[in-house]
Amino acid sequence: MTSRTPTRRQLVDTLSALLLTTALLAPATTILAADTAAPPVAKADKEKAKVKDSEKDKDNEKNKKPATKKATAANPCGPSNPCAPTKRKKRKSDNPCAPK
Amino acid sequence: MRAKVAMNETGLVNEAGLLDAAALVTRIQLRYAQQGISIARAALAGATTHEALRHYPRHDVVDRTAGTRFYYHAHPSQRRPKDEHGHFHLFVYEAKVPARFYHLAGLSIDARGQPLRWFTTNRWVTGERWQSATRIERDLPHFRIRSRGRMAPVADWLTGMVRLFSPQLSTLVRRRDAVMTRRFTKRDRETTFEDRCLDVVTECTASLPQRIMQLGHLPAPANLE
Repeated sequence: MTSRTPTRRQLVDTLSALLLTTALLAPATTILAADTAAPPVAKADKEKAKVKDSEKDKDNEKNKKPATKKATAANPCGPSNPCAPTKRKKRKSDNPCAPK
Repeated sequence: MRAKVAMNETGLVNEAGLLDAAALVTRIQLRYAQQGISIARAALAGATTHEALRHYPRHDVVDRTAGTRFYYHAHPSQRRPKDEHGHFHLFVYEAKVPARFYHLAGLSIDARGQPLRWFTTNRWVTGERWQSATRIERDLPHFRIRSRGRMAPVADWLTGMVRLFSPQLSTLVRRRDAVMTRRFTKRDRETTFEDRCLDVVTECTASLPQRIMQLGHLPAPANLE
């Protein structure tokens, strides 16, 4: 316990210095609005959900397949190349593990 | 994925391990700050523009030895914190099946690089292979990501952040599983996993000063708000 005390003291000092220095930092570049061409996920999905609901009764079978396919392909926050850690491979675009 | 970390008998990171992680995180952040750079700026990997949904760095940071990966980005979302600059996504890969990965957590930061919140996401968000909280908790104390070059300190910082917040992350994924289990009773699993109205499942604060104060009842620095 005693041996850890300097670490704790040091930690408080570093944190204190960090808070002071950080307050003086210039904020990083904010997101470019013009590049938000990719629709916000929630909005796009709400629209998709509306369409789905209205067509549900009409043609359930026809609508189900493409909707599921599209849904699995759209992983907006997936890794850029999911297979990279061991081997770089080209994946088919419809593979759920290859969002890009 | 295995790394030497001070752990207690229950497999969780012990107090010494947490203090080490806190020291690592603050040291890296301070070193950047003294050069006039925030973690948010460092996360942009030298890019001068910050485009929505674009990955920084472009091809992510991958640790092939540890089987981990991260990248930084930003995009509009209904649940995005007001002052969020962007967020990191952290991934863990299965050793034997390289295409299988899971999303460990997301970490939001503000424009000055101060951590804001940790969050978990629904399966469709990253296209992950869903893993239970038990499995994630088992991997948590061993999580590390190393990189070379300009992203090396950011990778070390994230390693420290995961370690420092490992008890909170553990609770976060358990709560995520509880939320999903409740939803599975109303809709089938597949529909729930693909529910576009559910992106962020659980979240918790990632305040660094708060976390450090929690460790060993440290006296608050005079400049702590």
